[in-house]
Amino acid sequence: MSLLRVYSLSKKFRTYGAMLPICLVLLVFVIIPLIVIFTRAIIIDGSLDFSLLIKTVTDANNIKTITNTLLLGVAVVICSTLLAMPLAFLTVRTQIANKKWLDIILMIPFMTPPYIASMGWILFTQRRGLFQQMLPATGEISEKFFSFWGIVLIMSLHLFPFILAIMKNALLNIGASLEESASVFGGKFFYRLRRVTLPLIGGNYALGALLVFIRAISEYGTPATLGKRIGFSVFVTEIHHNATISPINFGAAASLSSILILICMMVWFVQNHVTAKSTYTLVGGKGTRPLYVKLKGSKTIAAWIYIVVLLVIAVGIPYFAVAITSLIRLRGFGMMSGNYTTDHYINLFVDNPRASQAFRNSIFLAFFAATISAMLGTAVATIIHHTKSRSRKIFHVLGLMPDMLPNIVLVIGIMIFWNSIFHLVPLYNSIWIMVLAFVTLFLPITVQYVVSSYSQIGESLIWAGKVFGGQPAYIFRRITLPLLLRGIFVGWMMTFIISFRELVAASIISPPNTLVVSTFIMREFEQGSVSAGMAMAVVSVVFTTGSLVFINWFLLRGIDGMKS
Amino acid sequence: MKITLRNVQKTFGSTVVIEQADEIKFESGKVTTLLGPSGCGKTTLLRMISGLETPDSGEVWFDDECVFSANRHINLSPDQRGLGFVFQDFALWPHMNVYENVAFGLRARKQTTNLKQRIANALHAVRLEGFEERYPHQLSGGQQQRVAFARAIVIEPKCILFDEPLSALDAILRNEMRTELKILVNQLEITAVFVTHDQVEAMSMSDTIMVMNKGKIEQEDSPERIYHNPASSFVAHFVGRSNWIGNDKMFRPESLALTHIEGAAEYRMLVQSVQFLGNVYELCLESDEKRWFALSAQRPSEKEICVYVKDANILNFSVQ
Repeated sequence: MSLLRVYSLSKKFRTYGAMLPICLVLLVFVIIPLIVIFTRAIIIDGSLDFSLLIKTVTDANNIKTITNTLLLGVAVVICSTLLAMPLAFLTVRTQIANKKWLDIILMIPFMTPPYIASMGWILFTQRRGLFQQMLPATGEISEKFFSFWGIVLIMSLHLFPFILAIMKNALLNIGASLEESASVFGGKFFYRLRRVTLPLIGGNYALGALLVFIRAISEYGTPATLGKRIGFSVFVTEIHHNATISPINFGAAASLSSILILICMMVWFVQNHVTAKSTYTLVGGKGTRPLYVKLKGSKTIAAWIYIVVLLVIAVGIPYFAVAITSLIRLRGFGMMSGNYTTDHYINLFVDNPRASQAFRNSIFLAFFAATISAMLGTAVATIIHHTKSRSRKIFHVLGLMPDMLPNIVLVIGIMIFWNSIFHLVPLYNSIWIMVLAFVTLFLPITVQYVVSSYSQIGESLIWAGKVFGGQPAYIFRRITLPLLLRGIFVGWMMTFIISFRELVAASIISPPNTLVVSTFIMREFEQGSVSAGMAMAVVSVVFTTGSLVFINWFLLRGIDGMKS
Repeated sequence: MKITLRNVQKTFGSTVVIEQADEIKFESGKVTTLLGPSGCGKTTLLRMISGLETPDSGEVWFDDECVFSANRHINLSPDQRGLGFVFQDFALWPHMNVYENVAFGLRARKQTTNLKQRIANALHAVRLEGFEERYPHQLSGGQQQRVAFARAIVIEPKCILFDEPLSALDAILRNEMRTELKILVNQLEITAVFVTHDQVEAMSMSDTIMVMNKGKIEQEDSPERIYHNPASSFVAHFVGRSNWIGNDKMFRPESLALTHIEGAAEYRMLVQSVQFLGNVYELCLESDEKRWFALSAQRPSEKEICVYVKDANILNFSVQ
């Protein structure tokens, strides 16, 4: 055999040697749970049997659930679009764009776990809630919030920053020249909007709308709290019910999950089609100078009123309700001087062993989930970056798959799969199954950050490393890794924060008597001390925000200090 | 170091990027420039010398060491070839300061004896003492260019490859750095291979120019001969101004006289435009399908003038 052949074979072996274990991990983590769901839904007692699936779909109750879910998804997309559109315009095309702090504040609703926001709203609007205490004269009007539109509003307030971010990027990419030329050639504002701006951002909007839709139909926190109060059930709550409350029915959970997966896939397909048809290359060198409209007088005031009202509703009310409740001594007395105390906070860590245990569990889970998925995600991103064509695409899809599907679906798959092989690998019912679930669910975060870091490393930096004598390992250690560090770190941090207060996976697969922060809050809210639950909510929000700020200031500064 | 490419060919998919040529030679201690329009294969050729690109066939020799041979399955990787390389975008590592950028080539090869002194010497050569601690984004374009050059010379390579090293700089800086690079390369008496599409750069910096077109070397010569004796109509078109008689005959604007010369052909032409270039006027003349340029010490007073060109100054590219 010739030398070159040996060389290329060993190179191939090296490549596949690295790819194979990662491939296996993705297979076990992502693919098998999905397969398990489908087989569980259509294979009964060892033979192919669609009767269960058909029974599930045609069941009157489930038809109601399906329509509820789809209606909710559509309503949330429309509502969050209405909230985001004016804001996108104001924060890109007017002098309000200069207010950078607004970008950060507008991220708060998105960073707030929806179950906490939902609890805040319930506490605010319920009978003898905070609103009625403050304005007794309004009677029972605030209780109108306990409705379908209340759910839609809470979810839209959580999800509109998604559409906002996508629209802002799209608008920023439309250089001033495109709009200026439209106006030079006689286009009035709305004509320009209709003929130039909207068509150019259509593809991006489709993507944003899709993400919001999928997130809305996958969301558990709001339907589980506010939805439960009004008997509004959706897919996720039904699946959750079948998987956790006896008589436990894995078959029905799997059938419902399969249908949910099919819906998501259909939506993905449609969105792909739309985006492919209406996405344009808008990179025009220096042409991306933004176009400003200077708002004057009453228009400025109207814009600010809109922003302030939105912020009050999205951030102010839920946080106010959660914080006040956590400080109230006896809820029967309500907001009254002398009825405030910080005892709930102190008790949380002094004589409530379950609370401090939950807090420690969450830190443990978040740390390991973030660390493992940072390593695994970096490996996957590295493979995506270095392989070509087909295998690249496969890895890309595998790496991002968990993000395209409702979390609950994967969790159910993981649960059924690891339960069935318990005698081989006794992972089920231990805290490590939660780590595994979190790693699977949040792997796409690191993959996305690291893939985008890779794309920012100019090829010539690597070529220069080769020419100046670096062996591949040396180049990776001295050049590639330091340049990826920021992406890996941001991925780690996001995974840490999201794992820290994740609810749906935790409530389905946590081992008996193992509480985490989110399940602790849920439990106290439903049947314990609401104030203690809200105190925990405040602590966990402060803790995650605090670590975010800390890491941003101290660690990322350190990394950034080394480069531009 | 003499670099020789024998029978080298390269294709990307179905497009031939480098057409097979018997021998392409870069002389030791000389500055050779690969000049051609974008897409002519000049950068590919450079990258094949450095080992960043693998030829489909043929051999690459550094003096009498074979660094690549398709038949004998020799292919030294870039890090084994010991060349200096100055990249088009400089390719300075953004997370390393000037000192670490320059040190990379020595550290990677574990040649760390006298590291500090060697780096100080290289930075002295490019007049960047005192910039060791700066990061690339804290430097101007010209300074980044000099760091890239220091990084290339510190490893004392036998040859430095330059891939359009001046194209990322603005016009004024480009002029300045051109002179500076020329002086530095001359001082080091090093073999240098330059890639550029800018003919002024090629003319002013090179001992030898290879004009490339569609993966082939059309002419290899001194800058003067490339200008005065272009070997093909492509070279005549690509390098300098050219006046054409039909499709095959050509002469340079300097050969066009505005006063009568004995034995020269006479043409009556319309003055289309006059451009003042500072030291001279450039006239654009037209008649029939001809569009010529002429140089003149003063602005012509007439709309229509007679011009003269000697037969001896006309080159004929028609296939004999």
